[in-house]
Amino acid sequence: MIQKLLSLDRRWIFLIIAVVVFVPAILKIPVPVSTISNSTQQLYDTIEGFEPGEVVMISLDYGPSSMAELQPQLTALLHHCFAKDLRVIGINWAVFDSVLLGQNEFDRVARLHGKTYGPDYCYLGYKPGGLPNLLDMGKDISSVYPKDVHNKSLTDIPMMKAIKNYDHISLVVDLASVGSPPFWINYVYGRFQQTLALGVTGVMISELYPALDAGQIVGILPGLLGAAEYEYLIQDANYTMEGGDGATGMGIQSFLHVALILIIVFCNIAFFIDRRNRSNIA
Amino acid sequence: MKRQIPIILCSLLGFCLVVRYFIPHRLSQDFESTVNDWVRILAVFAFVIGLGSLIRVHLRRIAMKVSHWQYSIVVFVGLLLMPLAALVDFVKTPNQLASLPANLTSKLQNGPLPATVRQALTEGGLSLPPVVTVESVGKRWKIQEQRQQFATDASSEIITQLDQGKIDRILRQKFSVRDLQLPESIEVTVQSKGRRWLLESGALWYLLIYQNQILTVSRDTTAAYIVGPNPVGSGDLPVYASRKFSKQGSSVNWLFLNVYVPLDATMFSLLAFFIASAAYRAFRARTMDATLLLLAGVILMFANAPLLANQFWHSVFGGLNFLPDAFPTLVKDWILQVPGMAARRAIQIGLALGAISQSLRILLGIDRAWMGE
Repeated sequence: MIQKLLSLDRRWIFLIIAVVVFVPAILKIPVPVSTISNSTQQLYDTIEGFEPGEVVMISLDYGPSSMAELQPQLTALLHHCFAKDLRVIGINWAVFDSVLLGQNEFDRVARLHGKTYGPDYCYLGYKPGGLPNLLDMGKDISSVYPKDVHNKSLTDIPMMKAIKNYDHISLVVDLASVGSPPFWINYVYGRFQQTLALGVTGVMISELYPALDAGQIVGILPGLLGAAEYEYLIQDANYTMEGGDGATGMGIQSFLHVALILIIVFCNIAFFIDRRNRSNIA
Repeated sequence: MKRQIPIILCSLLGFCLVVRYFIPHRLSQDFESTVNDWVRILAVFAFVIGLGSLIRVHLRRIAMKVSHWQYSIVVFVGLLLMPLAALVDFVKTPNQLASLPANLTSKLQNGPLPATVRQALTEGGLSLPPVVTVESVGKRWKIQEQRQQFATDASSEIITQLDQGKIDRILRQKFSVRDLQLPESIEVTVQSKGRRWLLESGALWYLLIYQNQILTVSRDTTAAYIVGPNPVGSGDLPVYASRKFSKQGSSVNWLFLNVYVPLDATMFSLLAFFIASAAYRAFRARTMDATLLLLAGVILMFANAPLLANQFWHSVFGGLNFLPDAFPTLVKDWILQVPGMAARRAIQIGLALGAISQSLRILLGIDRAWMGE
C-alpha cells in the first residue's frame, strides 16, 4: 500500500494541480496581502519620494510566458508613476517579443490617468545589440533608439528633448524573467551609478538579494507576490482604484502552495512509514 | 592563418576594450562607441542567420518527411503570418499620427471639436469617435470622448448585496448615483476586484467601490492630444493619438494577443504540473541536507501564499502576542537575506573568478572553443 503511494501515478498529481489552479482561476478568488516584503516597500518608498516630472525608465525583459507574474508588476508600477505625474520611458532591452505587451499596457494605464503619449510617456521598444545598448544609453539614448515604436524621431517626442542619458533618469526598473538583471547591475549601476530596481519572477529572487543588500538596487518586486503587495500599497494610497491581477493571482498561488505543501508532507509521511517498515523487516 | 587572424583580432579587441575601461578619454570613448556600433550591426545579422537556419532546417524536415514533419509547416505558417499581418496593417493605415495645419489651430477652443479641424485630422489618418470634445490642458489640447466621473453615497447595505455576475433591476434602482443613470438597455455585470467591485456595461461604465464608502463612476476614455503652446502658435502641430483612436497595428496586435501570448503562456504553465510531480518524488527527507532544503522550500511556499501567511496564520496564531503578525514573512526574509544570501554570494564570487579566468584564457588564445575547436 505504502509502496503504491510512494510510486503514485503522476497523473493523479496533475489532476490535483489542475483542480487547485482552475477552480480559483475560474472563480477569481482574490486573496489580498496584508504584510509587505521589505524589498517591495523599499521600491515603493523610492518612487513615492520622487517629485512630479521626474523620469522612470522601465525595461520589459520578459515574454508572454512570464507575463502572469510580471505584467501585474508593470501595471502597478505604471499606476504609481502616472498617479505621481512622473514621466515614464518603456524599453525592451533583452526580449523582443514583449514589445506589444508593454506598449498596450502603457497606453491602457496612461489613458486611465489622462496621460499623453509624447509629453508624459513614450515607448522605445527593442533594438538588437544587447550589452552595447546599455552602455551607449549612458551617453546618448538617441544613439541606441533614434526612433520610438511609432517610428517617430526622439527629437520630436516632447519629453525626450530633455532626456539625453541616464543622468536625466531618476530610476530604472528592470522587469525580468531572463538573465538581464546582472547586466543592469554590473554595467548600468556599476559604471553610471544609475538608481536601479528590479521586478523578477519568483525563482530569480534569491540570486538578487546580494545586490539589494549591497545597495546596488533600491528594491525588488518578488514575483506575483510582489505585484500583489505593490497593488495593496498603491490602492491603500488611493493612487488607483483598478483591481489588479496580483490579488487574483494570489488566490491561485495560495491554493497551489497549499496543495504542494500537503503533497510534500503526504509523501514524506509515506516515506517514513516505508523506511520504518523496511528497518523492522531487516 | 585561418586560425591565427581570428585569435589575433579577438585578443587585440578584447585587451583594447579592457584597457579602455580605465582610460576615460574622449578617444577611448569614441573607440568603444564604434565597437558597440559594430556589435549592433553584427547582432542584426545574427537574426538573419537564425532565420535562414530555421528555414533550412524545417525545409529539410519537410523534404525528408521525418517524424512529425507536419509541425514544420506550422512553423512556416507562423513565420509568414505575422509579417503578412504587419504588411496589411501598414497598407491599411499609412499614417497614424496626424498633423494639424497651423491655420486651423486658432479654431480650437474648449468644447465640441470644430468640423474643419475634425476633417483635417481625419484626412491626416486619425480615426476619431463620432462625438468628441476639445479641452485645453496646460500647454496642449486634448481631444477626447466625453469623460464623466461621479461620486455617490452608496450605502454599505447595497454593497453587501453585490454578487458576482449580472446586476438585477432592483439593485440597479437602489444605486443612488448622482447625475448618472446606469444604461437600462445594456446588461450591467458586477465583478469583484480585490477590495472593490467593478460594475461594467459594454466596456463603457466603471463603477468602483472603495473601502465600502466611496463610489466612483467613470466612463472609459479615449483621447488624442495636440501638443503645442496654449494659445496655439504658428507651425503645424503633431497629434498624438491613443491606441483606440487609431487602427494601426490591429492585425498584428490581435494575432499577438490572441495566438502568441496564450500559446507561450500555456507552454510555460505546464511547468507547474511537472514541478508538483517532481516535488512529490524528490522532496523527501532522506538526509540532513535534503531535510534542510525541504524545510526552506516549505517555509518559502508558506510565506509566499497570503492565504497561509496572512489569513491562516492570523486565525491560528493571532492570539499569541509574542509572535509578530508578519512572522512567516519575517522568517522568509531572514532565510533569503542570511543563509540564502551567504550561499549566493559564495556562488557569485566563484562564478566571477571562473569568468575572469575563462576570459583571460580566451584573450590569450589558450581556449579556442569559441572557434569551434
